[in-house]
Amino acid sequence: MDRCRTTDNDDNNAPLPSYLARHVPLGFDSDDVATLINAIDSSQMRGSQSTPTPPHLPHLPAEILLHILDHIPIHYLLDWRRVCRGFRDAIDGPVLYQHLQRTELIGYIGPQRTDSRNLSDEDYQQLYLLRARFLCVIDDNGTRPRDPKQAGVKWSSRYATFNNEDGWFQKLEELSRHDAQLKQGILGDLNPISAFHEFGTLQWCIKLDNAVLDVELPIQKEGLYLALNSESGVRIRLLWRDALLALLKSEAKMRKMLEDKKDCEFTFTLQEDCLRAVRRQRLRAALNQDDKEDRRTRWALGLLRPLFGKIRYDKAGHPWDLLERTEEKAMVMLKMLRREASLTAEELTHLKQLANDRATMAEELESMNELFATWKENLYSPVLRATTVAILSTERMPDMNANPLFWSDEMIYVEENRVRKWITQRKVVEQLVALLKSSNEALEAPEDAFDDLGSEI
Amino acid sequence: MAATASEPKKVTLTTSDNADISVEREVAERSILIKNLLEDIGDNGDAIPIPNVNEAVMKKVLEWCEQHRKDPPASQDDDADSRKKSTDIDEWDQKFMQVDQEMLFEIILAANYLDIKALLDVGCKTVANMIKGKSPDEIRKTFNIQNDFTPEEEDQIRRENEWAEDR
Repeated sequence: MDRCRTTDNDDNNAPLPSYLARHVPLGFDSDDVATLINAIDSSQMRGSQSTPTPPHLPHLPAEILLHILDHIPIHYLLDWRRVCRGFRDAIDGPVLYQHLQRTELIGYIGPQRTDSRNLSDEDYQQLYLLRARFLCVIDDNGTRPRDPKQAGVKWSSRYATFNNEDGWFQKLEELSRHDAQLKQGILGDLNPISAFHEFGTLQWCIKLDNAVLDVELPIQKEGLYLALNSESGVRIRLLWRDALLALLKSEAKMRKMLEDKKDCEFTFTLQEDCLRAVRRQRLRAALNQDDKEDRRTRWALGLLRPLFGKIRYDKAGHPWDLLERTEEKAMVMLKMLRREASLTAEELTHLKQLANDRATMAEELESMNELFATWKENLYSPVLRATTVAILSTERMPDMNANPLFWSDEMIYVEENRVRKWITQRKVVEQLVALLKSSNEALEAPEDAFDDLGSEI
Repeated sequence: MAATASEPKKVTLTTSDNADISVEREVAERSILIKNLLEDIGDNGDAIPIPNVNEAVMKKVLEWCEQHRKDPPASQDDDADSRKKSTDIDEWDQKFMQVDQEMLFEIILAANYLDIKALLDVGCKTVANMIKGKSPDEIRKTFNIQNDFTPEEEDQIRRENEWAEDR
């Protein structure tokens, strides 16, 4: 079996020529790998020892096992920590660091409202989410580690820095020029330790692959620090290990819950019930039993709408329903972000296309309605008006969020059909528009034309 | 081998069980090991010994190389790479990887040895997906790993994996 092993160690005593004894670089630093390989190798039994293993399976060398660990879906990763010390150390170190590089932070400024800030819908759409990608790890003094190549340095750093790349900050600066309060307001909304937020408000999310959840609840003072300045734009410092592990734990929990409850009834959808349940559990775990305020919140948590089809006996009134409204708002955003994270690039393009088509359709229908209204104005016969209304009245389209990621599956289905129908009927609609236009012209023309004609006669 | 200019160049590989496989050079060069070898020693028409891979596995690997012969070379940029979603496997590769576990492991070992990073990646992803949900004990059996945790450590890890119990 050892014939297949091609680790660095084999270089010294390998019978093969040196050019054959190489291995594929997997993106780890060789120093880091060496220590971990030793750890895994020491726990890996070779040859004909007592463990009852399938005799035909070849051994995979440790660096390949490491590579496999990198591809374990995040919902399962924590279980793999229980296999052996080598795996545990690898997951806590390089594997988690690999995941950190794919991690995104998303800040949410809260729903569009008019009392605290004055943003147009369009501007709000550009500012309501602040997305930041991983930049680098930093040590406790806030500087980049001097020698990031040194083994273990990267994943033993406590903090990671994230930055925003999509021009969010420039947009905020631009808008703040006309509205000095705006920047302060939005910063307050994004400040993780702001006292103004209700317990359970969705503010900062952590995203990894197809998972999106609140960063720790509530965020500890050290946990997440937001800095904005004109030179470097947005910088976010995160106590990364805790945040990532909290996400992995929640996702593992949710995966198990989805399996356990798959035959249960549900209140919203199975997915959503599980998501709410896990989120409530996290909120509850964050409360302090000795704190009076927290005990009240705990009580309020118990009054939230029951999940998994359980009957609700009485609906909590003010102020106990505050938490429910906060949860509702958080879920709208969280569901959208999770949907976005779970879609493939093609599915996302399809949804965007659908939203675009729908917008064009709405525009065309609107202009047709205007033409039709003019046409009716031009006709004086009320009888004719009444009959044509019945023939031509276009169905009103419901007002929907411009971002299709907020649409439910049923809404998407309805809109897909609507757009498809519209596209097939487009020719007829175009003819109708042309007809309306020309008859409007004809109807608008006669008064002068008639006068002219009359004068000639 | 009297190859004319229009015909693709071929190379011969000798596997560990002494089988000669003739394959187009472009296909064989998906393996960085073979590519470097051909550049270093020059293509003098001699068969290249591949002492770590047997015929069955080699054929399978070459089937993959044939399918992916036109793929752009893997990017050297680890950072860009690591940002990609890590569990997606393309459809052809998924079908290709529908083999028994022994063959799958052999393919991974061969890809590692022959230095075909993309194939190694696909192999590792497939293994990860296949056994992601197994119990720690089953995982140990699959990889022939011994549990070296003390009972106390095992307890501690189980606690770390879960939320603090409801107070």
